[in-house]
Amino acid sequence: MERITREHFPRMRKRGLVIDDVPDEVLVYDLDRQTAHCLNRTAALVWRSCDGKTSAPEIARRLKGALDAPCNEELVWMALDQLDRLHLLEQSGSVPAQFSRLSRRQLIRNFGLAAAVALPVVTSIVAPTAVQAATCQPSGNPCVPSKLCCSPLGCDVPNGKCF
Amino acid sequence: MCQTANAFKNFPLLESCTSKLSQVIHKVGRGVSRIRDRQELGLRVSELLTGAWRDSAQTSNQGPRAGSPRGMVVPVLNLSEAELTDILPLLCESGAGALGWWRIRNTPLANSAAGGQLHEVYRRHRLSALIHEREIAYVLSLLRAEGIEPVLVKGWAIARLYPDAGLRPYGDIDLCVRPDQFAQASAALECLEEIDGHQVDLHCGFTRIGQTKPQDSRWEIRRLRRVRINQDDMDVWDELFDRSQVVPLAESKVQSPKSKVMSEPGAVATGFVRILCDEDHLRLLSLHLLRSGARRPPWLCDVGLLVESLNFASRAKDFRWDVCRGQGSDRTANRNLNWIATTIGLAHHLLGADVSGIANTILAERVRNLPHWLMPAVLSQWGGRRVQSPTSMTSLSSLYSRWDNPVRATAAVGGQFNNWPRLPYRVAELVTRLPEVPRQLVSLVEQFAVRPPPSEVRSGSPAGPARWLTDFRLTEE
Repeated sequence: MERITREHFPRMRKRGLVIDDVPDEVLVYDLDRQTAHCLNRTAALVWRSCDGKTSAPEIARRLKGALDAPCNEELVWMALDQLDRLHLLEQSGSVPAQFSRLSRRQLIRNFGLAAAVALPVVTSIVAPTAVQAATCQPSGNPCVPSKLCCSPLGCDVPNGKCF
Repeated sequence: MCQTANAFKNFPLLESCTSKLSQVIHKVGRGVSRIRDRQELGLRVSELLTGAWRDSAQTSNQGPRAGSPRGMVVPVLNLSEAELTDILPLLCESGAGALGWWRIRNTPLANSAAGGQLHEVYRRHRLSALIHEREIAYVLSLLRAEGIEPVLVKGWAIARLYPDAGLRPYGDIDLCVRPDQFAQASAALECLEEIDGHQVDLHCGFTRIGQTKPQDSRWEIRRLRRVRINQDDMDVWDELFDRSQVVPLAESKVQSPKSKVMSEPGAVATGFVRILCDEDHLRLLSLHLLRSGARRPPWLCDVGLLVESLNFASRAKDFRWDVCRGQGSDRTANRNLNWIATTIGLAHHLLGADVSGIANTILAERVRNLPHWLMPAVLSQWGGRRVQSPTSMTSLSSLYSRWDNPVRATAAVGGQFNNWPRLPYRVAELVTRLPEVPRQLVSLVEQFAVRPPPSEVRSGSPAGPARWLTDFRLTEE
């Protein structure tokens, strides 16, 4: 098992980021990599606590108070692992090997369903383009079994197109 | 029936004519049905966006931003999940996705798949708003270093009134500069062509804002640099500049102090920016909306928001309609008033904008009674998809959409919005655009001849934040 040293006191990255606090989540835009992420409340709390002086058990204690839900060190490391992989921590690879790639399923198995509400989630923001957003086929597009024609359109069978 | 068919066999020409005629009738029938479908979709968009700019007490989870209308009730939304799914592409395409999210955020629709996608759009707009403010601060610093004081119009100037920074999409930074400083300003901003993320739409004074511009902006800038300064343009500039107001650029951050740009401590958007006074701004937004054919719902939301923030009910006497109608001949001023009233009427009828304070003004009649063709025409625009492919179809479809848009046609030839038939305006607009035909033909041929491979198309897109924002950065006209 890897020994936890001073290097494992994570520090949040501050340079090259655009950060926006919205209710219950934090939005982050990475100017260097041109990617955007959304941190849920747990992930945001962990990230904000990363000052380079606070250890994971201490962050877990803070988290427990803030979320009013069962939190432990593993949960914090899970969040740190995600933040690290998205380059939101100062030092890359600051997560000890035994805590890296912890799965949500594993965590819920260990601590029960109550932990699910406090799970840290960091997602990448990908706004849908108009084409992606089309879950049904607009007028003029071919009728296909996987996508229905948008109501009130119908399928023009001879042409095989929605109209 | 069979006998008729057999009879036609003896007359092949007649048979072919009849078959062609039936095809034409079928196509016309489908065309009419498509227009109805578009209007129906447009109506759903209109229903979703009704009062979407308001920060209702029941739904708000943040304090309202400075200047945003307060206390207005947001009507109950009667839209099913399937209907929301149907209009989702239209919302994303027109830049109204975040406004759609704002409207549904406290309803069961927020948990639907379509709601999730609208939430993503909202998150993206929030971040792009912060980046946009940085860009404005940087561009202003470049111009001020040259001793040029620009006036920011549209975009951020209206977005600052929304209750949340992420509701309005951002496109270019529209800046107006004193006509005799245009050449100097365009030279100062030339460096931006090599810097990622900045797209500045520089205007020579105020007189040409909202007018349709050629697609090649560099050519336009070169032309404008050579144009002799017109004394009328200078007078208009002086008058509007004197009336303009100065607002803090970081105003939108006042309500969310935690929001900040952390990349470069010196680059945080601070300082002030000069914007038009409310009267001039309302005129500009109205004229721009109609000249663009009222194609995008967020532009009408802008008008609805501005009208409500002016609070006519209690401040009707403070609003200077004589200033709002603009200077120029009586004919121009009356036309402006007709257009402004039409736009306010559209915002009222389609988006539920509160115009109660206008009841006693000269505009009341026009606001209440819009031309019968206008609302169906606008709804048809809102319910129609636009071709996205970078092929020759774009030119052809834009040609058709011009013909298909009586609002744009009327505005293009400076007509009045009344109940008269629109055909003459449509024809007149096509005629006025005839000189563009050779250039469009050339670009059409170029598109066929030199079509870049997909990899080149990707690399040709702007880098930096602009690349990330490209999907919803709107093409301004």
